Amino acid sequence: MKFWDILVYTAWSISAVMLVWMVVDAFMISSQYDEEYLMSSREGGEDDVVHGIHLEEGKE
Amino acid sequence: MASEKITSSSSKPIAMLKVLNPFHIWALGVGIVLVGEFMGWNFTVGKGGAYASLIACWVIGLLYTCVAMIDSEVTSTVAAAGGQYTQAKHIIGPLMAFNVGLYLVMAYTMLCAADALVVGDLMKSGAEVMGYTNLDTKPFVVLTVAFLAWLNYRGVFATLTLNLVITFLAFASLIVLFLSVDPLSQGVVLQHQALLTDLPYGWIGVVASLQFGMWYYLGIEGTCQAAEEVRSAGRSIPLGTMGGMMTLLVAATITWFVATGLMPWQYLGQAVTPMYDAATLLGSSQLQLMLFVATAFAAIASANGCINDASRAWFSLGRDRYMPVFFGAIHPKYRTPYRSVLFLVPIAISFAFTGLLDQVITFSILSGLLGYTFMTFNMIKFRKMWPLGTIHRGYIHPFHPIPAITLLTLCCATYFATFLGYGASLLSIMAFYILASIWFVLRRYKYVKRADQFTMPWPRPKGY
Repeated sequence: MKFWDILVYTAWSISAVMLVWMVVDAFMISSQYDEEYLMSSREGGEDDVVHGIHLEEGKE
Repeated sequence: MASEKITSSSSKPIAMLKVLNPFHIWALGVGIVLVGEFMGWNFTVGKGGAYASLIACWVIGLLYTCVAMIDSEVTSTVAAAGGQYTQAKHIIGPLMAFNVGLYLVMAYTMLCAADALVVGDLMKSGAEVMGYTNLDTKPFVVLTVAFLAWLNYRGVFATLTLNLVITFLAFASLIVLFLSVDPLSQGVVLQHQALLTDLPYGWIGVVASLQFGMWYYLGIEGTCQAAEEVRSAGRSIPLGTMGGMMTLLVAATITWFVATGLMPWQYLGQAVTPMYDAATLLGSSQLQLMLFVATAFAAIASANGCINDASRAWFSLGRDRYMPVFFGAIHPKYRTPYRSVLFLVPIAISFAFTGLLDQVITFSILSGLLGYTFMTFNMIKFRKMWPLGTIHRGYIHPFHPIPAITLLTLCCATYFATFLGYGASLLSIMAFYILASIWFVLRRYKYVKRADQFTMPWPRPKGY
């Protein structure tokens, strides 16, 4: 078997391992955590940047 | 394993990690774009000759400078994932937001597919140089997407640190190539006086070249997708975006300068890997190897940034229920939008397996162009609703509304250029977005919780 053939099989194998790892991990997370918690993020939440400051009112 | 699931009542709401700095923002923006300097930009030469390419480089550079300025100002205020989608949601309305979100997902997913195709083609070229013909490119396309998705799944810091390293190396290779042609001595290596000709197709060729001129900069606006994961977004996003734009203007100009001084426009206009060809012409095997590796790095960095940006846009659509809320989940350990990352993998691979690189890229470019057109109206309305002084901006772009008007004018010129070369694609893409809009209005918008989508602590807009 040539080097390039081995490389092709290696590429397929590594791709499969990584894809399967992600799918399995995603299922495990779904089984361990409540859906409401996983989807509880809010845009701009816990933000330390400037967008929350209202100059008009002079307060956050 | 715990017997009960961890719930929101027992923990704080989950959020993405704020771990990025301006260098990561630079790496995200430039990383997505830089592959266009290694290939693709040269089709401008085929459309209108070498001088048309230079005009397109600077005219489209002006378009993207307007994009970067407008984006920097609005994003420094709307510091949330989703970028232009979130801006549209707050400033224009839900239908515009849905469309912009879709433009972003399609543009970046298609660009990711195109980048993976390039990596596969590079592997095939490398195998041929080493005497092995007919290498199957598919496993390397899949490996590229799978590895980068895995990286994106496991955390944004490592993902964009990798982008920072390989993007810097790819940019450095362009500088090395520039220095190696002895740029100050005309006629020694570079032959501009002999190779530069008048415009072969006149000024209509210049207009036609504008479409491919977007390759020089397409994707720099992706920096704002990282707004929710960057420390001090009001400072970092403008710094990274404007720094990235300056880097790209330099890279684009030296790319044009080197390539047009080494190759006649007739060849350059249809070359697949012009910068690698330039290194080959110089007769240095080290330069050849460097440009080969740099082209691969640029393609990988671009695909990496595209997965990052497409997943954030899709995640934001899910979080606001514009798409199934399932996609609005964040990984509790890695703090990434893991379901969105995973969902886009088969889509990117499917596009890549079509092998239709030019169609995929055209769809990506047009989706981007639609997004830039939206920015003009967005900016005008943003300044009207929240005038200067009513809300804190991390960056205020100068000469408003001239950049917005300039951007709209240049977008119209680029639509015309696209119509000249890809009229059928332009019309079919427009039809796709119109159908998607009808679907959203009739079938999807009823699931959106209207009050929940506006969580920014902004003051009431002027006139409301």
